[in-house]
Amino acid sequence: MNVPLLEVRNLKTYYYTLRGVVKAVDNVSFTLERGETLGIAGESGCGKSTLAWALLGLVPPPGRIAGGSIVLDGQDLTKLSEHDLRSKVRWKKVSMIFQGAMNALTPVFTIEDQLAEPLMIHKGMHKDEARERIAEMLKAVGLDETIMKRYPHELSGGQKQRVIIAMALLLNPDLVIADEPTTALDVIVQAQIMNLFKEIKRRYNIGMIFITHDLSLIAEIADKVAIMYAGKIVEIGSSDQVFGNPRHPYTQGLLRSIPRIRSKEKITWIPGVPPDLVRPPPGCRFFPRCKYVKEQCRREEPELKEVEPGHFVACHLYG
Amino acid sequence: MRRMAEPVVKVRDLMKYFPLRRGIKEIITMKPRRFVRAVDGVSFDMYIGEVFCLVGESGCGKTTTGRLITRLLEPTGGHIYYKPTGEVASQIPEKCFAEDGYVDLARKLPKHVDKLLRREIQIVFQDPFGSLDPRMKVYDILKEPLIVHRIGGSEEERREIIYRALSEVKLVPPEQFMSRYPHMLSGGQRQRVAFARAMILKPTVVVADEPVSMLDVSIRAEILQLMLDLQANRDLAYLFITHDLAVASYLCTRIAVMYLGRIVETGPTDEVINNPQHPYTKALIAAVPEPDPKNRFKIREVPIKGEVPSAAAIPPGCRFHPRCPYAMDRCSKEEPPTLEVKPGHYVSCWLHAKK
Amino acid sequence: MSTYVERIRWFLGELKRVKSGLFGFILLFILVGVALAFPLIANQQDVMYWSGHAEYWQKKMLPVLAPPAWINLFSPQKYAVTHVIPVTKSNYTILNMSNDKDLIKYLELMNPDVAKALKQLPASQRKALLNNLRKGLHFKYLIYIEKDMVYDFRADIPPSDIEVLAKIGPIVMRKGLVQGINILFSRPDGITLTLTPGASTNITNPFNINQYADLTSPGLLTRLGIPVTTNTSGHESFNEIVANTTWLFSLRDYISSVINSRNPAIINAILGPILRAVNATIKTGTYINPMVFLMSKAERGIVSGTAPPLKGRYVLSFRFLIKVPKGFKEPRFIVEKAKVLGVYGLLGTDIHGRDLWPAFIYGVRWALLVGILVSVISTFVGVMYGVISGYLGGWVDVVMTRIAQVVYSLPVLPLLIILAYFFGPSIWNVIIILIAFGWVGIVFTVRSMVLQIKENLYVEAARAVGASSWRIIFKHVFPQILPYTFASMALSVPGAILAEAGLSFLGLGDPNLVTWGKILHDAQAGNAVLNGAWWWVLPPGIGIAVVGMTFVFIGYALDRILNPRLIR
Repeated sequence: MNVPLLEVRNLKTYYYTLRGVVKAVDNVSFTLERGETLGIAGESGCGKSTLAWALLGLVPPPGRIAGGSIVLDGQDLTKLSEHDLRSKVRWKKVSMIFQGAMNALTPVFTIEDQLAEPLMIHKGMHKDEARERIAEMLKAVGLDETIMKRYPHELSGGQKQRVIIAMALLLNPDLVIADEPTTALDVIVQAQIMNLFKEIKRRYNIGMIFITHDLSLIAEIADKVAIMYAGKIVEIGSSDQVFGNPRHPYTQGLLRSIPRIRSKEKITWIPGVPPDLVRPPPGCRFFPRCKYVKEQCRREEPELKEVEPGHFVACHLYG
Repeated sequence: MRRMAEPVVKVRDLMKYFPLRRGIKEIITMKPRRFVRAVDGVSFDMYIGEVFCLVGESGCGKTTTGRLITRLLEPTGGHIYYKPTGEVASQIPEKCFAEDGYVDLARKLPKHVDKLLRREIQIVFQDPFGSLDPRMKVYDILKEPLIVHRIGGSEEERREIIYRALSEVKLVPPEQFMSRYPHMLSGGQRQRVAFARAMILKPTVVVADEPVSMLDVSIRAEILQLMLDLQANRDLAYLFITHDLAVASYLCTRIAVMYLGRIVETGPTDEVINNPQHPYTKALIAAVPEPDPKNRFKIREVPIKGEVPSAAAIPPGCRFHPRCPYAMDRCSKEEPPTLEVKPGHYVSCWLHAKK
Repeated sequence: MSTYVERIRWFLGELKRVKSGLFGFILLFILVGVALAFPLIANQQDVMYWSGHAEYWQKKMLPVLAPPAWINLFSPQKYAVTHVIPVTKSNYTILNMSNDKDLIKYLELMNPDVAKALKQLPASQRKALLNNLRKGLHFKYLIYIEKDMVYDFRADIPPSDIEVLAKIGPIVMRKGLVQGINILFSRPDGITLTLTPGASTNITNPFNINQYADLTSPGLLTRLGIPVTTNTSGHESFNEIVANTTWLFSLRDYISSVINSRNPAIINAILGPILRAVNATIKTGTYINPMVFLMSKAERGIVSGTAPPLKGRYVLSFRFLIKVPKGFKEPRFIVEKAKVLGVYGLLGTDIHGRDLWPAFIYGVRWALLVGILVSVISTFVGVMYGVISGYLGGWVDVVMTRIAQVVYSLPVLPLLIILAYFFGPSIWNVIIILIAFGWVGIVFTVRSMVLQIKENLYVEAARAVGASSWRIIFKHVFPQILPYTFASMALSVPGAILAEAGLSFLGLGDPNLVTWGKILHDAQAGNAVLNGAWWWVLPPGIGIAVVGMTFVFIGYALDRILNPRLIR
C-alpha cells in the first residue's frame, strides 16, 4: 500500500476578525493518492478556497492555520517555515491555479517572460534553456509556440487559461490545486479545458485537487469527491459512490438542484442560507436547512462515519 | 396561462452597432468607420404565458438584445413591435401605432407614451447586489417605481402595494424586510427584491438577464420556480437570457441560440435540445457537462474548431463558417437564410437549404 | 412631522455611538456658545475700537507685548502683574500773594530773617513794605502740589513700566517765571532718585524753587512728554501748558530717553545715587533695561541687569511749585490713573498694547461664519456642478468642464487685488470672492466620481424603471457623493479661514474687522515670533486648528452614521 501523496488531518483555518473568529475550515481531513483527482464541491462561503490556500500556506491575514496537519510526501507543511515553503514546496511540489488567474497575468510582460520566471527562480535556468521547456509546455497544453511572444491581452480567455495551466505544470509538481479554473469561461471553452485536464491527468499522473461549485464539472474529472458545507466535509467517497449513492441530505439536495439538459426531472432547492461562520449553529451545521432534522442534530455535531468502504458521511441518520 | 395567438412582442431585424474609436492613422487615410456589430439582424416573437430564451456564449449579443428590448439602449436599426393591452393602448395617440395595434419601440416616441410604455417592459439584472442601491432601504427601492409613475395616491396606499409585492416574492413577513438595506440580505433575497421591483409596475414583458448565474446552485431553482409562479398569476411574457443551456432547457418554452449577433436556431425547447439542427447548437449541447462520474474516462467531443472571432471583424457569409466542421464553399460567400425545418423550428444554415 | 422627530432622535442615538462625532458636535456647540456669549465674556468696545483708535488704547494704559497673567502659574520666577496703584498722598497748597498773611508766610519760608524783621515792624510800614514786595513778584498765586503713588513690589521680575495718566494745566511759562517740578522715585532700600535733573532728592522747603527742576526748560518738557502750546493772545507770545492737558508719563520711556541721550551730566544727575552706591558707571552705548535697573538691589551687576530684584515699597512722588501770574487760572494736576504694567489678562497684549482676549473671542464668530459660509456654499455649488456635468455628459459636460477649468486657472491674487480696489475690502466681499474661487476645486473630483457611479447597475435599473435624469441624480448619484462632500466641507473650513487670513495679511481683508487672520497678520508685522510673543501667535493658530478639527470630526461622524453599509 503506497503512502498517500497528501494526508490532511483535522485541519483548522480560522480568520481572526473584529467581528469574531470566522471558522472557515473547521476540522477537515482527507487523503489523496498519487495520480488521483479529488474534487471538492461546495457553494460560496463553504471554505473550499480557504482550504486551497491553507495547503500552500498562503492564507491571507487575518487568517491563520489554527490546527491540524498537512502531510505531503511525508512532510508536514504546517511545520515548515515560510522560507522553506517558498524554496522547497511551492510550485516545485505543489502548484495552484487560482480563481480568475487568467486575469492575473501581468499585462506588460510577454507570455514567454512570465513562464520563464518560475524556471529562472526555482531551477536557476537561463533564458535560452527556459525557452525550450516553455515551448514544450505550451505544446502540452495545446498552444502554438508563437504564443510565447504575445502579450496577455492578445489572447482569448481559453488561451490564457491554458497558459496558466502550463505555468502550474512547469516545475513538474506532484500536486496541482485548481480553484474554479473554468468559472469565467464559456461552455465550449470550458469543455476544451476540461478535456485538457483529463489529458494532463492521464499523461503526467499527477495528483490534483479540483475545487468548484459545479457538481457536473467534478463528475467530469474527479476520482474522489468531498462535499464541503460551512467549513466541514459532510460527505467524502469515490465519485461513483457520491454521485450514485449520495447519503448526506445536503449532497442529495445539491444533486437534485442541478438542471440536466438530457432529462426532464423537476429540480428542487434547499431552503435557507448557509450559516454565519462566526457563530455557527450548535450541533450539525446543516440542521436549520435539513428536512430530516432530529433532536440530536441540534445538539451534537456528527462525526464522519463509513457507510460503505471508502465512503464517509457526517450525519446522524447513519448512526 | 394559455398562449395567446398573437405575439406580444415582434422583433424584426434588430441591430445595434457600437462605433469603434478611430486611431489617427485611420482618420487621416479616411478609412471607413469600423463597428462592433453586437446585434446584427435579430428577429423573434414573444408570446404571453411563455418563457422565451436567448442562449449563447459571452459576446453573442444576447445581453445587448435584452437591453434594447427594455430600451436602455437605442437600436441602430430594425423594429421592436409591441402590442399594448387595451387600457394602455387607449392612452396612446393613433399616429404612434405602426400596424395592427403594434407600437414600434425602436422609433422616437412622445414623452408621455415613452413613460407609459416603460411600465410595460421591465428587467431583472444578473448582479443581485449591484442592481439595488446600497444606500436605500428595500421599502424605498420598491417605492421608487411607484413614485416615478405616480401610482398610489397616498403613502398608505403605496405601503399596501409594497407589502403585497414583498409577499408575492415570498419575502415574509414584509415589515421585516421593508426596513432592511441590501447588504443585510442574502443573494437570493436580493434577487427576490429585484423581481418585486420589476413586478410592482405590473409589466407585460419581463427581461431576465442571467438572474440566477450569480446565486448559489442550491437556491437557483427557488428563483426559477418563483419566476414561474409569478407568471402563473398574470399575463406575462419572459425573455430569459442565459449562457447555461441546462437552465434554459429546464425553464424555457422556446429557445433561440445566438452566435455573434444573430440567431442561428429557434424552436421549442424539446426540439432544439433533443433535435438540434444548427452545427453551433450541436456543439453547445455536446459541451454541457453532466454529473455522471463515468464521464471522467472520456474526452468530451465538441464538434467545433477555433475560437470566437471579434464582433468588430465578423466573418463573411455565414459568420459561423470558420469554426464549422461541415463548412461548404457557399458558407464563406453568402449568408444563409432562415428556414423552417419543422413547424416552429427555424435554422439559419446552408445545410438545410437543399430542402 | 413625527417622522422628523423620530429621525432626529435616531440621529442623536447614533451620534452617541460614534464618539468622535459627539465630540465634534459638542465642540461646535461650545464654539457657537462662545461666539454668541462674546458680549458677556469680553469687552465689546475693545473690538470696536481695534483699529485706528489710538486715544482709546492710550487711555486704557495696557502694557505692550505683555504675556498673559496666568504665566505666573508656570513660571518659577513671578512676573509683576498689571494693576492700578493708589494715590496715597494728594495735597494742594495755595499761597495768595494778595493776602498779607500768605505773603508773610511765603517770606518766612523763603527768608526767615526778613520775615521776622517784617513782623516786628509797625502795621502801616509793614503794609507798605509788603506792597512793595508784591510789586516785585511776577505772580499772584503760589501753588504747591504734592501727589504720591505707592507700589509694593513683591514679584521676582520688575514690571515693564509704571505709567501715570494725568491731567495738568494751565501752567504759564514766561521769561523770568520759573516753574518747579520734581519727580521723586524712592526705593525700599532708602535710595531716592530725582527724575528731574537739577532738583534735590529731598525736599526740605517745598516753596524753595531751588529744590525743583525748571519745568519751563524745553528739553525737560520734551523728555517728559508734556505737550506745550504757544499762546499768542494779547501783545506778547508765551508758552503754556493749557488747562486739562493730557499727560501720559511713562517711567520706562523717560529713563530710556535719559540713557539714550548719552549726556553723562544728566545721566549722573538722575541715576547717580544708585551708581554711587555700587561704585559703577554707565559706559556710553551699553544697553540698560530701565525698570530692572531702577528696581534691583544696589549690588554688583545692577548695570548689566543681573542683580537680584529689590522687593518692597516704592514711592513715586510728583511735586510742583507753580507761580500763577495775575489774570491766569490756577493749575491743576489730577492723576486719572496710575498703573504698574506687567503681565496682563487672559491672552496678553500685542505690540500696540491691545488686549488680545476680546480679539480672540470675537474672532470665533468670524472664523465660524467665514469658515462655514465659504466652505458650505462653495462645496455645495461645486458638488452640484460636478454632479450635473458628469451625469449629463455630452456637450453639456464639455462646456461645463471647460468653464470650470478656466475659472480654476484664473490667477486669484491679481484678480482679488483689482476687485478689492473697486469694491472695497469689506468682509462680505472677501466671503463672496472666496466662494467664487473656491467652488471649482471640488468639481473635477466629483465629476470623476459621478462618471464612475453612473455606470453602476442600480443606476441602469432606475433608468429601466423610468426614473428621470434628475431623479437619478438626486436619489442615486448624490447620496453616493455625500460622504465625500462632508469630508470636503469639513476639510475646507480651515482652508477658508486661512484664506481670509491670507487676504488680511496682504491688506485685502476688512481693515476694520478683527479676525484671527488679522491678528496673525498683525503678529507677523509686529515681529511677534522674533519677540517671543507666543501668546500673540498661538491662540489664533490653535483656534483655526480647533475649528477645523471640529468639522473634521463632524464630517467623519456624519459619514459613519449616514452610510448604511456601516450600519451594524
